[in-house]
This record gives sequence, structure tokens and C-alpha cells, in this order.
Amino acid sequence: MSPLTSYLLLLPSLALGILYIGGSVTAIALSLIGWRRTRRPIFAGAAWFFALSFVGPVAISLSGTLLSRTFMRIFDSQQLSILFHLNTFLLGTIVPAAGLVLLLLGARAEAAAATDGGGGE
Amino acid sequence: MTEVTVLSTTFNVVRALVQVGVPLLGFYVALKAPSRPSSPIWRSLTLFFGLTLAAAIGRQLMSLIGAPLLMQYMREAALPISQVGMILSAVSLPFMFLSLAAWIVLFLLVVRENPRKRESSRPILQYRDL
Repeated sequence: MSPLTSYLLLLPSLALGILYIGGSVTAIALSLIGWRRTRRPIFAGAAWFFALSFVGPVAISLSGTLLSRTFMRIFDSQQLSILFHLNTFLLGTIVPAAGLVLLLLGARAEAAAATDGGGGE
Repeated sequence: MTEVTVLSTTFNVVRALVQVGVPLLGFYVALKAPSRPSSPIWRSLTLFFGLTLAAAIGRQLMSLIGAPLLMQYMREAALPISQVGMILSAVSLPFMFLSLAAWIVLFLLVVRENPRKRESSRPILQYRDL
């Protein structure tokens, strides 16, 4: 494969990465603006969801090298493997799931506030 | 069975439960919300959690059943490893699109519910002022 072809093959991933980062930052900003202006819980839940579902995968890719560099001399390969499993599990599963739960809590709080307000939606 | 294998299996099982369980809970809550028919927020959230749930179930089915079957088929067909990777990525693409669709639904909800930019404080010239 020529260098030009490999660069061309990188372009879609680069475009996707830019879209992913840009979209997530825009979504977080919009949710925070909504929260600041209205104090409605749905915006807080959405901001948490967008932030955590963005941070988890990014942190996985950043922490891999950091973990292996830090713990390579301290742990053996088996312990390192366990550490990587734990890292992927926490950042790739628990963090995005926490975002979903917070979004749901925000929506429930919003519904409760609408009911208390008496007007509904 | 080594310690790592046991731990890895445990993580996989818990991961599958969390990845399917949380959207399922969200979908159930959104579906059962009393104000759902009249509330655009709950309708959007039902769609969001439904799409997330579909993506999670599809991914789990793919990793539990689809991927081993595909790997066996590709081993029999003696495909090169680069093609195997490409086919596995292509097969999991629809689930990525489902997650993306869910993300877009929530994004549109946030955009729609966001208050419009405040009107300019300058008074509008009325006909009677002329």
C-alpha cells in the first residue's frame, strides 16, 4: 500500500473523529446553556449524558498508554491484564451507563417538576 | 481456567447486563411515564432509549452468536486476516448507526427545548408612533 493510499484511508476516520468531538462539545454546550437559562433538570441530565458518553471512550484510548507506562515495572503481565480489563470495564461500560442513568433521573425530575407546577407539559 | 479468564468472563457478563439493563430500564420508565402521550420530552426519550436498547441487544447478539459463527465461516473460507477484520467491522456498523440515531434524537430534543435567543431590547417601531 502506497503512503498516499494509507493517508487517504485515514481521512474517513479523521473526519469521523472531528465530527464526534465537535458534535459532543456542541451537545454539551447546548445542554449547559439550556440549564443555565432555564434550570430545567432535563438539560442537566442531557449534559451529564453527553459528557460521560464522550469522556469514557476518550479516556480509554488515552489511559492505555499511561497505564502500561506507569505499571509496567510494578505489575506482572497477568496483573496488567486484569488492570486493563478493569480500566476498559469502568470507562467503557460504567461511565456511559452512569450517563444514561443521570439522563433518566433528569427526565424524571423534569416530569415531577411539571406535575408539581400543575400545568403538565 | 486462569484467574484472568475468570475475571474476563465476569467482566463480560456484567458488561452485557449493564449495557442491556440500563437502556431497558430507561425504555420501561419512558414507556410507563404517565405524561408520555402529551409530552414531547417523554416521546423523544422513549425513542432514544428504544434505539439505545436495540443497539445494545444487537451488539450483544453479535458478540455472543454472530462473531463466532462468522469467524468459523471465515476460517473455513481461509480469508486473510485483514478481510476478516473488515467484515467484522462492517457487520457491527448497523449497531453503530442505531447508537448514532439515538444520540441525534437526544441532540434534537436539547435543541428543541432550548429557549430561543432573547429578543432585542430595542423597542419595535409601531405604526402609531409614525
